Amino acid sequence: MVLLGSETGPAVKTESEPTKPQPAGSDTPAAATTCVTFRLRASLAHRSLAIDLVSTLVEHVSTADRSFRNAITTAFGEAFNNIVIHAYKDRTDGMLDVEAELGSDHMTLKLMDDGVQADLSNVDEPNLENLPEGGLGIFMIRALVDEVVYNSGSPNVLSLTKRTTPAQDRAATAGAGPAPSRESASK
Amino acid sequence: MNCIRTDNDTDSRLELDGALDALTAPDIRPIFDKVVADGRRRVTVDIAKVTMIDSSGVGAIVSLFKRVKADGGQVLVVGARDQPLAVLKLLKLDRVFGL
Repeated sequence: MVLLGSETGPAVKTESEPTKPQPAGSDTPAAATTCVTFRLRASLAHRSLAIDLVSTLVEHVSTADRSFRNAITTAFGEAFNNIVIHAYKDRTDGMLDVEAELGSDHMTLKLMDDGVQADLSNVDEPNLENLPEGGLGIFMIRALVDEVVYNSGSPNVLSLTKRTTPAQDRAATAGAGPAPSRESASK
Repeated sequence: MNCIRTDNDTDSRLELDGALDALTAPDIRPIFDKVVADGRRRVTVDIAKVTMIDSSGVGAIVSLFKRVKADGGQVLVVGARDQPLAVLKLLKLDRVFGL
């Protein structure tokens, strides 16, 4: 269920960050970002809706292409699965808050839950040569976005940042595998 | 997610339509299980109409692939494009599946 105005507040909220003042002598304006938040029940039944929302938000990252959209929506979907299946295991009342920061050249998604904290540092890298049938979600998240940050607490916050790639870089890296993402975690 | 199975001699074709993910994969697995139980020798999984796939969906296809292969059969995945193709390439399954 997506909450559309209730005691928990509006489901979708949009805020534009003011352009930061530039240092004297700077000719380059700071890129403005827009922050959008939404909240929905953490249920696999709402997975498709959540991904559709993220996909729509990608349209507001002006330099994003199809590859960017596929990567961020796939990573978000895996993170969504983990929260529903693991963080809220045996619970049906879990809520997921998503905060999306949209810039012209990047997108950051913060997924916040009040479930069981994850231990991303203790997830083994799958051996793809063995054709694993499970344990691929965290690997996919790490491979698809540029930065993964997890802070356990109340709430747990998983932050995924994906940056767009300049056209000349895309041409140079066409056919190459995913670049390793930076990752950090704290408690 | 819909799955249409078409049999021809010892071959089977599975045409998937929709999102193959953590929500729908549990519904598709019994269809895959039946294909394995029936001892089909050559299985073609057509995912041209799959709009999105996640690790659960990939796991279902990999499970089918491994079981059919263990029985001496063959699984081909055809029609992958856009997000499903990107995911299969990421997991180095494009060559395994004959894409």
